[in-house]
Amino acid sequence: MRQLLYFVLSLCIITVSALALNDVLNQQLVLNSTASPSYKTHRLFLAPPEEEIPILGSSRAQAHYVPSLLSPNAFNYGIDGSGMYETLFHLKQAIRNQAKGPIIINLDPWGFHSEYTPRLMADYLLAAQAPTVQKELFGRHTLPANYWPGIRFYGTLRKNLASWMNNRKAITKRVDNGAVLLLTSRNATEWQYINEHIHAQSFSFAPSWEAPLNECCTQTTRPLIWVVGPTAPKWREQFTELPQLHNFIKHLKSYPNNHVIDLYTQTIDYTEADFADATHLNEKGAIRFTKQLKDLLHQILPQDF
Amino acid sequence: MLFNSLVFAVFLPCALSIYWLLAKSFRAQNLFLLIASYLFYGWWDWRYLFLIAGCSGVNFIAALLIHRTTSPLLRKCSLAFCCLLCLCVLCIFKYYNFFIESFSALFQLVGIEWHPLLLKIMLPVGISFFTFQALSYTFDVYFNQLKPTRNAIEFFAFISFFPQLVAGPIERASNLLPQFQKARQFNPDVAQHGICLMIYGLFKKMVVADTLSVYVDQTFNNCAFFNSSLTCIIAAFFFSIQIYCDFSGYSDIARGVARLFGFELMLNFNRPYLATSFTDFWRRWHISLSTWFKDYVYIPLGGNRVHTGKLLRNLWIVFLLSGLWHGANWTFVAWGALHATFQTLAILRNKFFKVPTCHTFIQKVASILIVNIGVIFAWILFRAQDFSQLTTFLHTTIRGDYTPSLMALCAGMGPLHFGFCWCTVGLLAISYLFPADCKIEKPSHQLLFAALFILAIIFFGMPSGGEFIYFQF
Repeated sequence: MRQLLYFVLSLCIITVSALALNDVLNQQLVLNSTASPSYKTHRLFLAPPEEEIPILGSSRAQAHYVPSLLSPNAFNYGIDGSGMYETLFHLKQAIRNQAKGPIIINLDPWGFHSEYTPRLMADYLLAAQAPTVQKELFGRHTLPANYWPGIRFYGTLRKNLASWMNNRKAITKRVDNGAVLLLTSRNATEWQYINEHIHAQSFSFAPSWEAPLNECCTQTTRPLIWVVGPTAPKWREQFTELPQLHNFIKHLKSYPNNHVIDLYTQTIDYTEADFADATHLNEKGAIRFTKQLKDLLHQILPQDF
Repeated sequence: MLFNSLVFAVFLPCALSIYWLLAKSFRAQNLFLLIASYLFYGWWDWRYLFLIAGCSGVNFIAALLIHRTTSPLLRKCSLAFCCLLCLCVLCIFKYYNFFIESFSALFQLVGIEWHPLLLKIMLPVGISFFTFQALSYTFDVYFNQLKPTRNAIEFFAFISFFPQLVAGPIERASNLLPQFQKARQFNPDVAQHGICLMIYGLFKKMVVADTLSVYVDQTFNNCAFFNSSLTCIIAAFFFSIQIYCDFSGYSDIARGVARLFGFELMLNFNRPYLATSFTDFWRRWHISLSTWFKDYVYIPLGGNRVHTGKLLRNLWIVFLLSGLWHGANWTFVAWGALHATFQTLAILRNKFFKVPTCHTFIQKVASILIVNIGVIFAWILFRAQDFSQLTTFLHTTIRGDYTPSLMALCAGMGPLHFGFCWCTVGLLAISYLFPADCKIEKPSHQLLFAALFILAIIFFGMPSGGEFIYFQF
C-alpha cells in the first residue's frame, strides 16, 4: 500500500511540475512571438504602447495588412478564426487605450453572424486577468480552464511553438509586426478545386449587432478606418446582396470620424495569383494591397500615413 | 462522459473513494457501480438509460426463462424473442435509415420513385457493444455454458459496467459476471498496473491518435486539392496508427479503470501490427469482437470443420457481418469483404500450395510487411465517408504523382505539425520497448514508464481531440 501511495504521489508531483513548466514555457513562447493570438490580446488589453495604429480583424486582417509598409507605428492584431464579435470587442478596447492615432478595422462582409456571440476564448489566455476580458468576455461564457494557471495553456504548446518559429525563420509564413503573410501560391489544379468548393456568401447584419457597432462608432474621437478587403474573383462572383453591403457602408460613413475604404466591390484587379486561397491574400498580394491602401489612407489622413 | 475529459477526472476519484468505502459489502459495491455507471452513461443523454435498462431487463428475464424451462421449444422461443427484440432495437437505431435509403436508391435504379420515412434519431453511444454483451450472456445460458444469475443488480451492473460500457471490450458473462458475485480486495500492485494502463491509454488517444487525426481528416477531406499520392499514402499509414491508438487506447483505459475497481477485463488488442498473417491479425485486433463472432456465428455455422466451400461461406458471413457491425455504411461492408477476400486467398493458397512457415527473421519481417500493406489498404475503405470519397482517394493514391510540394506533403498543416505526427509515431514505437500490456515488474521502471507518458500527455496532448472513433459503433 505504501508503495502505491509513493507511486501516486510521485506521479502527482511529476504532473504538477510538468504543468507548471508547460505554463512557463508557453508564456515565454507567447511573449516572444508577435504572431501569437495570446500575445496580441495580451498586448491590446494589458500592455498597449502609447502610440500605435492598431489593425483589427480576422485572419484576413492578419494576412492582408503589412504593418511595416503602412507606418512604423502600425501593429497587426488580426486573429485567425475570430469573427466580427471579437473584432468589435478589440475595437472597444483600442478606443479605451491611450493612443490617439487612427484605428484600422478589416471588415468581412459575411462576418456578422446571426448571433452576437464570442467564438474564441482560448486566445485570451494571457489577457484573462484584464478586467474587460473577465467582465465582458469570460463573464458571459465562463471557461474555468482559461483562468487556472497550470492548465490554462494545456494543449497549446504546438500552436505557440509554430507562432514562435514563424516569428523567426518562416518556411510557409512570414511574420511582420503581428501580420502573418502566407508564402503560398496555388497551381491551376488547386484553384480549380478551391473554386469548385466556394459556397455562395451573403451580407448579413442581424439587429443584435446594431447597438455594439453604434457604441464603437460614436464613442471615440480617433479616426476609425473600416476596410473591406479583396477576395479571389470566383468568391466575389458568388457573393450576393451587394446593395445591402453598399447601404451598410453608407451607414458606417455617416458616423463622424468613420471612413470606409472599399477594395472589395470597387476594385476588381486582383487575380488568383495574389491569393493563397479564396479569401486570403498571399505575401505578394498583401504587399500590393497594403501599398494601395497606404495611398488611399494618405489621401484621408495625410498626417498619419 | 469521456475518459479524456475534466469531468471524468473528477468523477473517477469520487467513484473510487465511495466504492472502496463500501468494501465490506460487495452487494453495496455492485449497487454503487450500477448507479455510477448509469450516471456515466446518462451524462451523455439520460433518455437512453431506458434503452440500456430495457436491454438488460429483456436478457435477464430471457436467460431465467431459458434456464427454468425444460421444453426445447420454449427455450428456443425465449432465445429467439430476446434476440429479435435486442437486434430490432439495434437495427432501428443503427440500420433503419441505412437500409431504407439503400432500398430507395435500388428502386430508383429500376425506375420506381419511393420517398420513405426516415428517422431523425441520435445513435445511442455504444449500443452495439452493450447489445452484443447482453446477447452473449443469453447465448451462454442457452448453450448451458453458464448458469443465469438471479440477482438483477449484479446483472444490470455487469451490462452497464462503465469502464467498458461504450466502446468495449465486449466482455463475456463467464469472465466478468463471476467477478460481480464475489468480494473484491484492493490490491495495490493491481491498482498500480491499472494506473499505468490508464496513462498509456490516454497517451495513445490524446497524443498519438488525436495528433494524427488532424492530418488524416485534412487529407481525406481534401485529397483532390492536395493531389499528391505521397500525401495519401502517408495519410493511410497515419490512419492505421490513429485507429489502433484510438481504440486500443480506450481499451487500455477501460482495463486500467476496471483494475482500480478490482475487476479484470479481457485483453482486446495484442500488438496487431506485428501479425504475420491475416488470421493472426484478427487474433490480435479487437479480440473481444472477433471471439464473439467466432463463438456465436462462425462455430454455429460449422466453423472450419467443413469442406472448403462451406468454410469460405462461413468466413464471408462473419466478415460481412463484422463490417456491418462497425457502421451503417456500405464502405464498412466493403471493408469486411476485403478482409474476407484476404482470408479466402490465404485459405486457397494453403490448400493448393505448400507454404513454408515463417522461421527466419527476414521471413517474419516480410510477412508482417505484407499483412500491414493489406490491412492499411483496407483501412482506406473503413475511413472513407462514402464511395465518392473513396474513389477520389484511391485515384489520387494510385495515380502516382510524387511531385515535391511542402504544402501537399504537410496536408496544409505546416511542417511543424507534420514533423510532430512522425514524432508521435516514434514515441509509440518507443513504447513498444516496454513489456506488452504494461506488465512492468520493477516499481522504478513503472514510474519511469508512467512519467514518460504523463510528460508526453501534458506537453503534446490535444485536449480538444474529442470522442473516440469506436463510440459511433
